[in-house]
Amino acid sequence: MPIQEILVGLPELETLIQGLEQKYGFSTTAFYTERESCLDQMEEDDIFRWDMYVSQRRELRRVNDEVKNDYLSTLKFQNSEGKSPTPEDQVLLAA
Amino acid sequence: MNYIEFKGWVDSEESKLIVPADWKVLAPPACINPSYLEWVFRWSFHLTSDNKYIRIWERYDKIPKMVAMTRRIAFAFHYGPLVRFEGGGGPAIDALGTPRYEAADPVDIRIDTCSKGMEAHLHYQKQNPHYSQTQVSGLDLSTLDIFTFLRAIIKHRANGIPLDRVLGFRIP
Repeated sequence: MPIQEILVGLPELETLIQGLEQKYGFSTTAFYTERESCLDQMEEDDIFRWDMYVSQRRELRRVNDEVKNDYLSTLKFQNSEGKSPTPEDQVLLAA
Repeated sequence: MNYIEFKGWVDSEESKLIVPADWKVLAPPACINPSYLEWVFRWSFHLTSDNKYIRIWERYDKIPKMVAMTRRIAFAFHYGPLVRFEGGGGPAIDALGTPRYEAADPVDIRIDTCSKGMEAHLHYQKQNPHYSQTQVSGLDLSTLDIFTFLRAIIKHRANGIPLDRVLGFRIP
């Protein structure tokens, strides 16, 4: 049975993280900064889940930023050759 | 180990594993959001003859300040009775496709890192106590791998040999 690959996107990870924040009544920041007291209140499996979701969110955000920056650097290159940005380029830059 | 090597190792070991007839795959082996140096692995079985389950979770991440090197930073291997069922009678599962587990649930054996300090510890035949590595001799909890765990459960269920003897550990 070959290993499957499951892709979970940023919106889903955000939802899963929010679900844990609501379940325990503390934030992800508290989960890391007040770890001792937070972990005392948690189910063992949720510790694994929370760490996993946050780690995967961080990695997906990093990849998103990388792709966005690569794309923006392409736009700058076009502009430096004297071509004015199109309205579509301006919308993308603003985003 | 990187993701390609991990997949190769799991595929190879899984092909050699003789799974008993009453083991129904509940969540097939899968990696969640895998990249070359970071992935989460999950796999679970419903042991239908006595309504127990096995759950494997592992998380791998980069080693800080090392180039292209990764290691297992968290895991939870669990074997015990199913206690939650859906309306249709099947096991209640979570977002990872594995049975839900809470602190009061019965357990046969569980070895995991889900605690303060993320140190591997053992639960044996009951939730508490959590045996830390310093209390367990004969088995290195932190390096126990998926297939050693699965083969131990197979042997235990086939022959009735207690799991502490199959895995070779002693506790106080």
